[in-house]
Amino acid sequence: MSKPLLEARSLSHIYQLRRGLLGKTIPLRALNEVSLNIGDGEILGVVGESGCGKSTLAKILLGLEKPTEGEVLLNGRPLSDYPRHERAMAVQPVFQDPYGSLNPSMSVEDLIALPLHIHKIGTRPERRQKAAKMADQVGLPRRTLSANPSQLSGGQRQRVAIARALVAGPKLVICDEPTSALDVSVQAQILNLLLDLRAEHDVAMLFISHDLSVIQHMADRMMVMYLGRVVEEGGTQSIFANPDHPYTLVLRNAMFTPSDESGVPDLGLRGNFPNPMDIPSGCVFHPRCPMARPECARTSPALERRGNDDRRSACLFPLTAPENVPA
Amino acid sequence: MLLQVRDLKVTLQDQGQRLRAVRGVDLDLAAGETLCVVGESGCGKSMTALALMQLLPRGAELSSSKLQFDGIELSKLSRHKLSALRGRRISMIFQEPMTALNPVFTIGDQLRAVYRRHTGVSSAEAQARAIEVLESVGLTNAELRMKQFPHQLSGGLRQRVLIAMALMCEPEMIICDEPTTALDATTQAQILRILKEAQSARKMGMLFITHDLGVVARIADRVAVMYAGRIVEHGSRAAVLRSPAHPYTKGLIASVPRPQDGGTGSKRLASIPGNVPAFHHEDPRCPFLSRCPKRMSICTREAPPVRQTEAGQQVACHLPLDAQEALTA
Repeated sequence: MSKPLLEARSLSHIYQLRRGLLGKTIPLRALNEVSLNIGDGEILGVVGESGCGKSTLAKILLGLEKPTEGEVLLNGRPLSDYPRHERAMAVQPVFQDPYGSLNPSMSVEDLIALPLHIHKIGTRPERRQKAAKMADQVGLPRRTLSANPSQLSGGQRQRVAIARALVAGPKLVICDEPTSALDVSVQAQILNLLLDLRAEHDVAMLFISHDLSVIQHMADRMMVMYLGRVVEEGGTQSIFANPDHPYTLVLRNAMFTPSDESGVPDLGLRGNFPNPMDIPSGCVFHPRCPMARPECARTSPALERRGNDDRRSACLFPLTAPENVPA
Repeated sequence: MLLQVRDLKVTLQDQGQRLRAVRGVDLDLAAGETLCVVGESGCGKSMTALALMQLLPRGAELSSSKLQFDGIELSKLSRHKLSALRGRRISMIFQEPMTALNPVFTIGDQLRAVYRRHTGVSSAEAQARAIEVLESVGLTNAELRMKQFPHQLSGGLRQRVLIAMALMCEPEMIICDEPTTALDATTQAQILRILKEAQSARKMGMLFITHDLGVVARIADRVAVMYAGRIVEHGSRAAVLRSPAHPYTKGLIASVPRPQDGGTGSKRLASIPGNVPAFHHEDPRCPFLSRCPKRMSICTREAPPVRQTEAGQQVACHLPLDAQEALTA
């Protein structure tokens, strides 16, 4: 494999939470030895539920948080060595909330052109021209260029956020739940737009979502996270066809589509919601796992390669192991 | 019929303008039945739910030719009689469990208060009932939970407490407004199972408001599709989801990413261009007119007639899709 665009090596991140003003701090392990690669023009999906560490991962890859352990390499060079503006040229975010992430007092044109202005790219007329061209590409009507964000719909605001992310020609865009606040018909427009832009600009994406059907639609490869750990990763289609980790199977069973009228399934989940301040011993998923055995509470499974594709999973008794597949 | 609604209209005040949020909605709900009202933001589905409970925001105007629960005309009830009905015979569950619970009282205080208010029983009896109901919605350590405050519970647990509160008095009808939208997928599945079990055990009528067609497919008996304040299509779950007759319904279903897509990101999703219009004036024409791919000249002139399709649903369209068209993407 050629050198990846972005490589993260064994990232761990611990937040120190303080109970009360003078209380002692409690560590919250948000990420635990997470590694990943993203190639040029590739979309890597990250799926998991609240508290799984996916947003912390996004912040670290954007350089907004320094990992407690591990490092991030961009084009083979540590992200921490990049001057801030150079890093921002290469990696750009698109966040969930199109209401909170745009300065309400700026016009759409200025918002889109801001990265060019900050990086001192081109003259003012050139920047305006480039902003207008970018607006065309993301499907914003020209008349919206002079508008403020408050005059736009949620979908249009997200188009502004995407145009702003792409205008300076980044190699990687970190999308953190980019369509979660949007209606489905608008979500479809934005997902189509992101795929078009990927094809046109060969930009790679880390695509974070809690919605498995969106990940399945968008991602070439995917990672499933649970309580700060990667429990399964590999090619999206392969994972969907045959999940290896019981948690992946549970997530797949909890995915509801309009064509499946089979009633609400019993996911077989045990116990209560996972707490990142109290991470279980052994396999992190064992207290809720429908297939847990006594050993799962003692031994922490490593993320291991299975079979001959690039799939890896962290389970002592993976679903696709020969002895677990019913004859 | 448990619930009968005819020609429901809600008008809101929006920056000095009259905004017609609900523009003539008819609904029926039988005991033990689940009716899903599905639509995107701004379609009027939440306002419809609030109108049924007579809980509209200040300045809202409501009119209807019929708004009956079990033969009682809700719009004519006194405030006193209405609040005796709400929480006892009709309950409601909202999307955001944090705002629906009072942060300064314990879960136990709030559950007991609801029950005692409607039944006048002793605190001890209310306590026993609350624990029983909390356990029935899958809460472990119910006695401990009773002593906790809302902020000490996760979103999924809070939503279970709200469901428990709604079920305390064994209502005949429950109105759910996006009760699982803010929850994780696995929690959503668990909450929906609890709701469906509670419903079938008590033969409750359930009016379920959602934007999620995947949820509709799993829980609905009948579906009403709302767009810009109107119901554009209404019928059995199978009819509406498998052979949508209104171009909007078809577009909405097609815009959901599906497993059959192959998922390599190669196949484009069908999307509906444009945005939902707001209606400040009465307009009898089809609300989907401006975005419809099948628009004809008659659509710009005349109100769409309501027709019955072969599959049995009602559709308000000049040119409803036939079963063949509905299937082709």
